[in-house]
Amino acid sequence: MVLVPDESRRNTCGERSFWLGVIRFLQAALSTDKALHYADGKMADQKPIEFSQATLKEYREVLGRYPTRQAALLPTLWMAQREFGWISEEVEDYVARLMELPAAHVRAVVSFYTMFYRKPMGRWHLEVCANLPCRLRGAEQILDCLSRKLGIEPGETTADGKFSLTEVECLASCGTAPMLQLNHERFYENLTPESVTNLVDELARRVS
Amino acid sequence: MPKVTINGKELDAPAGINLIQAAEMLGMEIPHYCYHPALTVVGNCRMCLVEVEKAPKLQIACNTQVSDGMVVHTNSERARAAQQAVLEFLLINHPIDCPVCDQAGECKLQDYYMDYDRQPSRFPLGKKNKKGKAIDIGSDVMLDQERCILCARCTRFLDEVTHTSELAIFERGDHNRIDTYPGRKLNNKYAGNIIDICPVGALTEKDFRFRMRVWYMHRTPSVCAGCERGCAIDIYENHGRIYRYKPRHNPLVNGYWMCDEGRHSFTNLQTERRITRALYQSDGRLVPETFSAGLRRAAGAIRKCGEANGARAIGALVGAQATNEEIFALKSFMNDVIGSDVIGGMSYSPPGSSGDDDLLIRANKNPNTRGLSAQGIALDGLDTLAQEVSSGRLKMLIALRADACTALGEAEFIKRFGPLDYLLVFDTDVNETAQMANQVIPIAAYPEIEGTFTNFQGVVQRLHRAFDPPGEAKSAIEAITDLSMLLDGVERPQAADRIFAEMAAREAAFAGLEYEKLGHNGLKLNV
Amino acid sequence: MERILTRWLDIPNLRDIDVYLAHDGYKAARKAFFDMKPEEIIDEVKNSNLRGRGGAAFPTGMKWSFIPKNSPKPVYVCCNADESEPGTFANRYQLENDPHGIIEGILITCRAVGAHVCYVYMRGEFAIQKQIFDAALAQARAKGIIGPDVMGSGFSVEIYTHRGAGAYICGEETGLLESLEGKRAYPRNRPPFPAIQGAFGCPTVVNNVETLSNVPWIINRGADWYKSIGPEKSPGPKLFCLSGHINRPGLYELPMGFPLKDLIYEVGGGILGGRKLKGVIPGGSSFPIFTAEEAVKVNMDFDSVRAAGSLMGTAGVMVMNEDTCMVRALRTIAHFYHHESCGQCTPCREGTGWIEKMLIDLEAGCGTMQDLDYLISVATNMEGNTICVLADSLSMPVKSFVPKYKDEFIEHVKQKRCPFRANGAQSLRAAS
Repeated sequence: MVLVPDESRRNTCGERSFWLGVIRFLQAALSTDKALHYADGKMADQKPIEFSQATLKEYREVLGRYPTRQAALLPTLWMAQREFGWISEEVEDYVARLMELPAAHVRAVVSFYTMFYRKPMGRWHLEVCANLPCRLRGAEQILDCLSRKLGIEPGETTADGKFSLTEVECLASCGTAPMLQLNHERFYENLTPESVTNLVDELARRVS
Repeated sequence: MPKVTINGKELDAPAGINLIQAAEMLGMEIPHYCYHPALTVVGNCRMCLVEVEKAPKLQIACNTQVSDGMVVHTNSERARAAQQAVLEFLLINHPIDCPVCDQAGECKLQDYYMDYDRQPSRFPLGKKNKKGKAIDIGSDVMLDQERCILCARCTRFLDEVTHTSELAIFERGDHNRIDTYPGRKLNNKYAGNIIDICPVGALTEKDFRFRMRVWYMHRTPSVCAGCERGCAIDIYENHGRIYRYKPRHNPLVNGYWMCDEGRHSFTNLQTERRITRALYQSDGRLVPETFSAGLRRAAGAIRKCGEANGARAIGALVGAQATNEEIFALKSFMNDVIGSDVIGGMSYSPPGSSGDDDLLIRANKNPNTRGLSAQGIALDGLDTLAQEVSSGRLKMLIALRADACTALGEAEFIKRFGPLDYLLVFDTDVNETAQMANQVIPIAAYPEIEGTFTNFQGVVQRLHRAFDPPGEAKSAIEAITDLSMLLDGVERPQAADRIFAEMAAREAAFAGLEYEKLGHNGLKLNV
Repeated sequence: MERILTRWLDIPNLRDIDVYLAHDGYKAARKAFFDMKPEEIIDEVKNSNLRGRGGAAFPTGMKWSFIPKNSPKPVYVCCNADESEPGTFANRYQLENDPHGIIEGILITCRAVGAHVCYVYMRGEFAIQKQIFDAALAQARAKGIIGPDVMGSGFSVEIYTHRGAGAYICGEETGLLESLEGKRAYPRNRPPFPAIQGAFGCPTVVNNVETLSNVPWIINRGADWYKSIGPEKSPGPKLFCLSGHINRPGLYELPMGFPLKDLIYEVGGGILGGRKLKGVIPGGSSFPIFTAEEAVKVNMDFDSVRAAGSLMGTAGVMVMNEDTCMVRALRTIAHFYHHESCGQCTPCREGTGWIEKMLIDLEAGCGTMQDLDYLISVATNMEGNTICVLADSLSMPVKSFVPKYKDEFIEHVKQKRCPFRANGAQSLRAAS
């Protein structure tokens, strides 16, 4: 549910924060380590694009669940994302060769589903629901608060590679809105500006 | 047969056809983009929405099979509103670049806009989505993602026909775009077909684009001479210059497709090597002269050779590039005018050319090999005639569209045919054999004549004359009958239909076939 | 009222198989496998008038009866756990708290239609829910409840979870099937229907989580008991998802036909901040909104909501108070459908984006009066003209929001700004 960046969504009358831009510029300029990390903290070019033996075993087990090989594509892409951090062109090609599918088909599928990362993401990925029920309970303030705190816009990753912030669609937590999901896993619900500030502080401590 | 009523007209429709096909049988058009009869139905363009009585919603005609008692309206108020709505949606993000778009004139967006929409745009120009333009995706195909209406004809062709799947739709929603996998271009021998089936200007031909506006070109149905498949084609030309070939639907031969090799084969017809005047050998070089002077010189040589050595000293070699009528005319000329039965055929494919595949391409690169054999002419002419030469019996050879020298190589050709007294060549180009000839008579290439080819499956298809041959060149039949006139003073028919009728009467394989009944698709030989 | 679908609230740790078994767990499955013929199961479900809870309210028993008998091809059951309709969160709690209730429903369905494999298509974001559900499957497998010989019946049923990856359209049953097959989730043309050509070209039943979890109760207690809950034509216990400007948002199990007024003011504790009610979307964001006046008259069952001009969908009840900017609310909805349109059909691919662009302008004060007409006209042109109903799902809110809150839209045009932002206040946040 990652939003595709879309200029047309930008308010034509303008309400972008000038200061956010300034902060981002300064952060980028001051950052000495611009390299982005995989979710497991390893550097992008340190791993060859090939499944581990354990994942290959899992892949073969998953193949057995379906009458066609192609049906295992989504589970395989999930394994790839777990193993390589994100779905690069090389990963697409690897999966295509492994599964004997056309590379263009694999890419077509990867680009259709928003949870497959097509660029390296931060160590902590905060996905804030911005759908109506959450907005009615203050999701916009939560997003603003996180944007300011992290110095990035939704759709971006901090220059130090620690945080990514994304606006996402309804995550089935409307009764406990506003909410966010961390790293595609845990839900944080009934958020307040204070609780998300604390969450970011806590996560920042955990990476360092 | 289910009885279906479309716009008040009744049709006994063959079971299993859809409403687009049924309407077509009634001479009515249901507009559509994504539907293509040779591809699976996806129903994504929504252009073919029609009103089917008793169905609460409009139905897409492409996915609706005829059923008995079905009553359909394609121009009711609801149907027309839907057609107009779909066109408006298709156009909101479509660039306004018709003046510089090569599809203009044969664009289904333009055509349907005029037929079904005709309303000013309600969408602000500045808000159109931007995508990639003029992307070279290989195989002579250029992609414009902004013009693409995402009908998925091209991706289905590559998935279902060539099974190569180079193109796919990436992203989602109105970000959807057609593209290749990064760094991998189109890689199949039929890629040009995606240009033909693209209903808009998203896929255009790199070689063709910006060279000729489509409305200046004339279309002539013909047959590709690139291999023994003989795909039905349309020739697009202007003032005697061919700009492109496009496949013409023929269920007996090629379906809707043709290969890229055949598609580009016309470039071989328009080279510096075309002969526009007769040529005769003098002091080791070919000297031009008028067509009639060339024929007179040839007639003189034939007469002289026949008188000195007898009629059987004159033989003929005919290539499988010749039409059925040309082969028959040459055979008659040899039998009836000269009185010789020394005739051999040849069917030569250059080494390294593509082999048989499971779609259309054939290893034999001659359009009429089957036609040659059907008239009883053996294909081993290069061997049998060479024996006649080495035994000293054959003194003169008449070669019609038969480039023996290229086929054999120069040394072998000289070894086999060097002892000949006289070599008379009827051909379109100054090929290797022509360069060795005593006399060369310029003849028309296949886009310049009427006639027929018989493909390897035995389907006899018609060629049509798209334009005149260059310079003084004449059709091979005219050249042969003119020559026979010089020899025996008898006037013989030159029209392809007359010759075809005679051929059908005399050649068993063609018995029962009538030229006028060959139609667009041709007919199969009896054998 | 007795809690049925939410009995985990009364029984701690119901997700554990031993607890589940101790509370009549898998009793209905046992009955279905040993005491009933497949046709009897289908008849019982048919007689119960159970209607699908996934949004379309199609009679479940009838759906099952479309599966060919003695099909030469395998038959598949798919459990739709792609819950993504904005305002809906019932399946999520069911997966977390009562996975065995769902598994039991699946088992009975497999027995009824002769399927040996079920895929549970779970939205990608349900990572925790998938873990819990997979653990429950492992428990059931260990006890021989699923596997090659279900409870000693000789009948095999394998259940696999299949994780989506972020696409609302996978909740549409044929989009789900395409996604299951490893493709872009493009909904399919019908015919052929999934009952004839579903997953992998084979006969397939696709049922929502909540639908399936009703099935064991119908088998255990009978169709007549089931029909006694709520209106006869649209009966049963129903999970209502209450969200938005309400004092007690959350998941509530109530009988079908429960008055919306009581849901808001009694169950939900009234409007947040003591403000006035402005509108309620009764069934998830895809459906027409009720004004405050309309809302208080409606009973929440499929037929009553339809009669009142909306649809109950997934019973995602979104409450908006008087401080809500309806232009911004609709823009948020439009953004969702624009973002989630698969892009296959022209009207939806192009129309959803067009509508969002118009609403962005209107909200920002750059819109025109003509845009208000265009909104209705574009929404009308999208409606009913596409393969699936995603286009209608935006068309319906547009065609209800604009006329029902017309003055507010006009104010945005006239003032050339959002009137709710006069003092820099956020236009959607409740004043609390």
